[in-house]
Amino acid sequence: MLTVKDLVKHFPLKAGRFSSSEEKIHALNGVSFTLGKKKTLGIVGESGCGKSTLAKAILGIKPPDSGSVLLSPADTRMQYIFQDPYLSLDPKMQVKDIITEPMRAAGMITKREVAREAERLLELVGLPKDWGTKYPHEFSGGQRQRICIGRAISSRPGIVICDEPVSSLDVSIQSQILNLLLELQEKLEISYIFIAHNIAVVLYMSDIVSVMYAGYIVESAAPQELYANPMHPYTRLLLSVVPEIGKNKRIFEQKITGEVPDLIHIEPGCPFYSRCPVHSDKCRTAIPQLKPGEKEDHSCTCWLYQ
Amino acid sequence: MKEKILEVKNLTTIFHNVNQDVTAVDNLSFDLFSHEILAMIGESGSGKSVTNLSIMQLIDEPGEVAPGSRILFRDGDGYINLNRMTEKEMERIRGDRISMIFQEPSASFNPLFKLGNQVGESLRLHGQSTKEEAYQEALKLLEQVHIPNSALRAQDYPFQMSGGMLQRMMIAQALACHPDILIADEPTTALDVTTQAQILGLLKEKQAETGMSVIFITHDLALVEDFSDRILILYAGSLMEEGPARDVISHPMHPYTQDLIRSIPKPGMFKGQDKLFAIPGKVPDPGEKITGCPYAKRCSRCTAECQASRPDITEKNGRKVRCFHAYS
Repeated sequence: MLTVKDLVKHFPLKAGRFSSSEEKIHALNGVSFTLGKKKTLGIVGESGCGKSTLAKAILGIKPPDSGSVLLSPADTRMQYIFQDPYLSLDPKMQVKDIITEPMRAAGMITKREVAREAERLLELVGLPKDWGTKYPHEFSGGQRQRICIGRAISSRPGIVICDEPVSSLDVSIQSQILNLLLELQEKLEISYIFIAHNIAVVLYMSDIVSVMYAGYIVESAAPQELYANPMHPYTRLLLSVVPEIGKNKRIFEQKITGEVPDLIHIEPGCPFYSRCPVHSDKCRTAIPQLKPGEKEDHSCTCWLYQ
Repeated sequence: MKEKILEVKNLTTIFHNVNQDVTAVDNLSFDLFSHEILAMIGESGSGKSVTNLSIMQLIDEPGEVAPGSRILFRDGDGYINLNRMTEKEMERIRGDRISMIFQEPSASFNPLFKLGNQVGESLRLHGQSTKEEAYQEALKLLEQVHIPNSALRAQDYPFQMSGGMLQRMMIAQALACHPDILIADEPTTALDVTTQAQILGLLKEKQAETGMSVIFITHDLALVEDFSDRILILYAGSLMEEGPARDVISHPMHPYTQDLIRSIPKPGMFKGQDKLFAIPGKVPDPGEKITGCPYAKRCSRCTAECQASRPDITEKNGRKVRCFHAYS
């Protein structure tokens, strides 16, 4: 239902008005995937890996330099849930108008139907249905994120892109919101692109997980498979440093070399080269294609498996 | 032999806002021992940051540390009450005997000065060195926190650094005067997980080297299980549970602690086969009137007693818990 092919997005870097710098930030370097109906594609990676740029490129907020985004005709509506529910709600609008705005914009309802639709949506996201006349400042962070979710699903989109939807929320609220997203997916048959830096959250939410590094998808697999048999050295690193209760992982003793990659001065070969514990000379020359390993649904860009 | 380096007794911090008083920290007592990493866990509004700003005497109007609060800091053979210090006296303690690092390193450095000068600043302020000596000392400190090409990086400005490198710089700055206590307020929250692991490693290494005590503030319970020695769990300004880190996490006594542990997604939980536990409701608003247990509204073990009166702290086998129906 959604097919993304070879998305590339580079941001030119202008030092000043008269600068003739040719430098650019290589945010996306050819990303491809398909997303099926009622499925969730999880995207995990650290800051600067291109996960938010990917979301924006798919939506056309930041049109890609090249590549294609193909949608099946039945699912042309896409919506977005942002990380910070304090920045993404207009403080001067009543909640009933906020939550139904996409429906009004799409011409699905008239002004007279706003109150009724707002009640239905508020209930759907677990808020009291008579709260439509309140303003955003009267809500807590978790409640605000519920409003954002209500707004996103109001126009019955086929696909909702969730960009770090819980990372600004309190720990005790995060699981409420994650479970709400799963519940709505069942009820409304939505597909999600779920973006987060926390691999535990992404594994829990997704049907397929793609690990991004320096603008590339470096590994893709079903979450159970990715967790049990991580292939790419970067995925293994991510799993080794995610805090995990009751496992005595001593993440502070992990040997981690290097820093996040430089996206401006790109060197040939694998972007993870300098941090990789198992690199060889070959890795300096080229980055291998994302290629299925022994299992068909598990693909990885690493010379170890070519 | 562990000795008490800090003893906080009945700390209460109130913000006198225009329309209401907000009690951010409510009668909190705890000890900090030498050579210890003490983790302070809490969500927004739990009072974890205000507690530490109160220790540092950095609470500004309309906030006030209640006069009866005692913050006893070991000084030579005796203890001094930081809550009775004048601003001048506190200035000698801050950055010298007790220092702090914060969540957002880019917001904690002055963007207009070279990092080398800022890292050595406290040495000059506390009258230990001249500007040149402080700079030389800063170079040594940068090496100690493993900044590559430290002599060159000392010439850089904050915007030229990655978040992880800046956090290292801030640690170097905080350690300059060999403090007795380092307060680390969510030092890894803004960092990537790989960088987080590096910074935690650095803190652990420096703590072992210097023997200082660390108060490590975080909202992430999973982070501190094997990193810290003891854990304090705060909720809505109150201490809910305290004990050795491993014990608290493997056998939580307070329902809140147990609920928190259950609601954190663990790697290896999958959609369709596991259901993540969600704590109902939300954290109390600041200033919300709470008569009983602050967690009563959200608690599965709540009874009429919990709604009506606030449980006291009970102590047993080195564990403390504030609950009428604690797990044993």
